[in-house]
Amino acid sequence: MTMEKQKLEKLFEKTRTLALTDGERATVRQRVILFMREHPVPHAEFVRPFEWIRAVFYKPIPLKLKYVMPLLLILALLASGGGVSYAAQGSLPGDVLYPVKVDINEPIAGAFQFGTQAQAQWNAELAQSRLQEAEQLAAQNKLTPQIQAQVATRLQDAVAAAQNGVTQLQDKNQVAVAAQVNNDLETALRVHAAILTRLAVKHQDQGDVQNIAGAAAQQAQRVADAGDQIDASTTEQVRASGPDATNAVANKHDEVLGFVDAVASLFKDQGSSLDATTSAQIQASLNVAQQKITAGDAANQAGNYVEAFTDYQAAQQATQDAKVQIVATHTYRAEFENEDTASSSQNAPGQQQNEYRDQEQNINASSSDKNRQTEQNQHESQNRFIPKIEDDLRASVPVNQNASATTNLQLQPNASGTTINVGGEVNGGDGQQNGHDN
Amino acid sequence: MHERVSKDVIYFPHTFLSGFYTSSVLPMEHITEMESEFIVAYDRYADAIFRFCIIRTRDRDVARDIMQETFAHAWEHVASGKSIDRMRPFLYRIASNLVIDRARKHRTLSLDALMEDEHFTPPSADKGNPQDAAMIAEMLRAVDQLDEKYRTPIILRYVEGMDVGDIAAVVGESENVVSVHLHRGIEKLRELLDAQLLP
Repeated sequence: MTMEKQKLEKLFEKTRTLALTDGERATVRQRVILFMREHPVPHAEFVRPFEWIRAVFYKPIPLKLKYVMPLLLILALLASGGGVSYAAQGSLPGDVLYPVKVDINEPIAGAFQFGTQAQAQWNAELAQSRLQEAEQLAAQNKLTPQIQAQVATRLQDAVAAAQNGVTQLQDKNQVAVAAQVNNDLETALRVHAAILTRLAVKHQDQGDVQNIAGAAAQQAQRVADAGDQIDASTTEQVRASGPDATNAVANKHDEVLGFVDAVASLFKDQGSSLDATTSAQIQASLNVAQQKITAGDAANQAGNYVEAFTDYQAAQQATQDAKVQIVATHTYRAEFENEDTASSSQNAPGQQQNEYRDQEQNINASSSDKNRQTEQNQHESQNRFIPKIEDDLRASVPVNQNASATTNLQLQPNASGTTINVGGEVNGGDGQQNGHDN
Repeated sequence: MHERVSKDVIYFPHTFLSGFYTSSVLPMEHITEMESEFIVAYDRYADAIFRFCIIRTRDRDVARDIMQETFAHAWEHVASGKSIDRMRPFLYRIASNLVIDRARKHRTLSLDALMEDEHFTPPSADKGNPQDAAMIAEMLRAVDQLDEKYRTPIILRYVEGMDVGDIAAVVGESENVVSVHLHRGIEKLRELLDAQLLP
């Protein structure tokens, strides 16, 4: 009996020696890393694999703790050395870390926006962020009346701050810049209001979402009203600048043309993934932009600079409208496309947020810079699972230089104990050693 | 290097080396904390999961693929924001499910299809001398004969040194049931090995 037991122990012990070769281990490792990169974590850092961290950071703030929270947050910030503040970047209203984002991170980032224009644009961005947050929550059916009120207040504050900046720009005689910031803000508000309305219809919780959509639309109207005045003074300025007007108009022309090109190519790339309604709206906006440019060109030829400038500006706004629609709707394309699969997109908005950023960068870079987009499309079409190792063995894959020593693939020895080496060059030392190992 | 080994990791020379070899290769310029945690988990458990799979499938290539897929599934789970209580039982659970899934599909797979795949390999042990290889092959044959309900607990307990609580988490049974299965399974295994050895 004891002999038997020893024999069994021995067998188990031998079985324990079964292992991957170093080459296999490294190759699969590489594959896993590749897979991780292709399936990034939405708001990396924020989502942690351990339950206790979620338990601490994910629960809504209990009201009793309202006054304790700031203290806890400061402690957490001190303890984490900035990790929390980074983690807070991805938080949404209702998350514990959200106050860190809006009351600590954003004011600090705002403090680094130098100049009135940057400040105004920053505040316009904040307004847009608030609406995006509302959209994400609406898409997840998490937009409660309290949060909605909170978002509306913060939205109002951000818009007021942005408008304040616009007024300052006007005072500083930077009317054209003021007009641009104002127009962009108006467009963003309008488009996001429309998206929120659509999300409301989709999720049938009209009450809350309509409220915030209404608030956004209201703000958009206010901004638009202010814009009319700015436009008036812009044309006045162009008129007053006399001979210099030629330059100003020519610059505006080039700027708008480049912008339209960029947005048109973005639309070409992303248009297919958008729903028909949005596509039609975007196409209409781009058409308006083209018409305005043609009109502007004609006015420019005729020497009617003020009119040309106004036309170009209108073209710019129409294009901006298209851009915001493409980018913002893209985030919720799943929502609008498949009306039946609401639950499947529960986790999606966060991830799509990254795509959103990518697109922003694309469009801001230049119209010719399409490589990133193509790459991104490829990523999207990647199948769910990692390619099998066999694929690597058939064709030698380009591997990281550092990794080449270990990715030199070793298959298991065949019956006679020889080692088959696949995968390009045999690396002197390591390759040999692995061979002997087997 | 000793700090790499926490108490829930069985300490075998090759797993130790696996950590050593692979952690020196970090091809990503920028890794988030979560990603690096996951890579550490890979370095720690890749061999064990692979071993688990090869014992169950007796096919090296298939075992390696299932191991790879196990980590892919685990990452998808992590990346989608879901939490993982304990990584090790979680990985075994995925691997176990994948092995069972494959076994189901495998029944319909024709031998021709298998032979067409040039990388199809008969079960073989890669390390050590032929005598060891023979012993391992014997063990695998015996384990293969076991009932599914005994097989996984036996491997996890006696090859991987996992405690009963973790095994219960992997197989989704109570600790008592696992203990009973372990006891009966080991008896059964002894019988099988005797039957194979005595004639």
